[in-house]
Amino acid sequence: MSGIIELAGLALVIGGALFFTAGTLGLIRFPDLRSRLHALTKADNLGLGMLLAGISLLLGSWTAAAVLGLTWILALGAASISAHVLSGIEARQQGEP
Amino acid sequence: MMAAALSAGLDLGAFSQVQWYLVLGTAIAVIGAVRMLLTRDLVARLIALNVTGIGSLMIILALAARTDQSSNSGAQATENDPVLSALVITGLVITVAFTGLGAVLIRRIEAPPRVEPEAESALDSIASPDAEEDEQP
Amino acid sequence: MTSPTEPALAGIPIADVILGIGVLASVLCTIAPRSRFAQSMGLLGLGVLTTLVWLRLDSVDVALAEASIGGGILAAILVWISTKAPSNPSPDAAAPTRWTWVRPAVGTLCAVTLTVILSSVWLRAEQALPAWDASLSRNMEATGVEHEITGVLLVFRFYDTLLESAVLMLTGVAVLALGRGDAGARAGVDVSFAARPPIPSTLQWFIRVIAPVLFLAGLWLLFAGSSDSGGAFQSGAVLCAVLILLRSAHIPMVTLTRRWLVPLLVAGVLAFILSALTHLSAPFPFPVLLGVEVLLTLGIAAGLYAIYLSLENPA
Repeated sequence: MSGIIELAGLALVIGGALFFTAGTLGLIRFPDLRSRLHALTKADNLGLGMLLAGISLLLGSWTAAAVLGLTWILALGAASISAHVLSGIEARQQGEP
Repeated sequence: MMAAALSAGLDLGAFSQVQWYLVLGTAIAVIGAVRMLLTRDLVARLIALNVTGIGSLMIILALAARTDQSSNSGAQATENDPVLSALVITGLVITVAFTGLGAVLIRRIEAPPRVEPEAESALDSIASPDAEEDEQP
Repeated sequence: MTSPTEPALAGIPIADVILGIGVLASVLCTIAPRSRFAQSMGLLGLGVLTTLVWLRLDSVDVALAEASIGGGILAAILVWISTKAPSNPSPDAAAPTRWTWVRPAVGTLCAVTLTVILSSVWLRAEQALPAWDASLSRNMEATGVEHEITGVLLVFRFYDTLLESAVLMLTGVAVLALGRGDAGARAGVDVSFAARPPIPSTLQWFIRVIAPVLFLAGLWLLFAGSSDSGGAFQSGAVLCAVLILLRSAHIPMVTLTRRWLVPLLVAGVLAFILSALTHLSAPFPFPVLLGVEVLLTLGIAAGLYAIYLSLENPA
């Protein structure tokens, strides 16, 4: 049983790293601000969630899982609010209503 | 020939983690210092000084990790050396302090000079110091 | 630490080799570019990788301090200076164009020579354990705290902590003196809100929800420093981050900056000096130590916040 949990944890960590890589690639290669924000908020936060889930599985404690889950929710909030503010500033700079 | 000179000078053999980070920290500090001395751009100098600081802190913390190596065989694993770790934390705070001051100074050095309003406000403060002191709670 | 079963290359664990190569690559990405923006971003990336190096060297306190101070307020300073002062053309371009390879070549040669000489010193030196190790663990019960680094910072080497807080206080005084506010006793902190773009209401709502959580985390870091990783400096950095967030949500903090910033800046150092002068023969009792540590934390938060405020002032 513990072998399956460890395997699942490792798979989640590696999957999270892959999502982070995809998000960074999108940040570098996308043409304008809005699509880069898509890459940052969606791919990076999903990668962070998988990474934290894998870490809590490998640690094997419910307290750690709760604290890491709270960290993920805070990171989600921060990323989405920052994306909202950044796109609003860019819209104002480009003269849209 | 270069490799032979390097290996004779470095006395290569089996390393340890502490020695790897010592050499790495030395390299980073030297790179940062050379860059700081050779460039003319003020912000590049500030950033290179930061890099030198990171390198020197890495040297100190690698020395702090020394105590782990020798007591590996014992049952009790001792922590890192707390005196050197405290020095590194002190170094980090001072790094951010001088970077902030340097950034503000660079902005004042490179900003376009403001002549007219500054002379007025300086004269105002000289002309009426008593009135201002009365207004403060 | 390094277990005997870790994969290693000539005695160095593979993880450390890869991390070291990554750190060197990020150092080169920091010092090589010409544009200030690329250099600042390179330094931020270097900060993230050095946090991993501190973790690899088994020091959670230093990693916490680097992540909170180096990644927080240092990132704000670097982003500000790379966007406000883009500096084209770069001053290095004023060098004569015929011999442009001389400067990088001289730099590389000096760096390689110095690195080889200093590394050979490190590798040949006899490694001995520090002499203060045993006496430190023996005298820890007299300090009143369980975490060794906090004991060192506040009791055994409190002169270093005092001078460091004094350096931060003097930096705060210097940046406030460089400000271009109105003339008068509070010049330097009076920055108006009118010059900044309007923010959406979701940001204000989010920050009003998040700020108490972060404040609690900062306070916890302060009080956890007595028995676990944490301490005054990490806590001060998180509290400064709370202040920066509140300011970016345009929450009015005029009373705080006008009346409390400068007194908080000096209170920690003054309290430290006074309690040291009144306890010349014995170590501090625990309430005095706690009070001094709280005031030091507030002083650190005030100093870092004063640096942040002065960033916008000359602009």
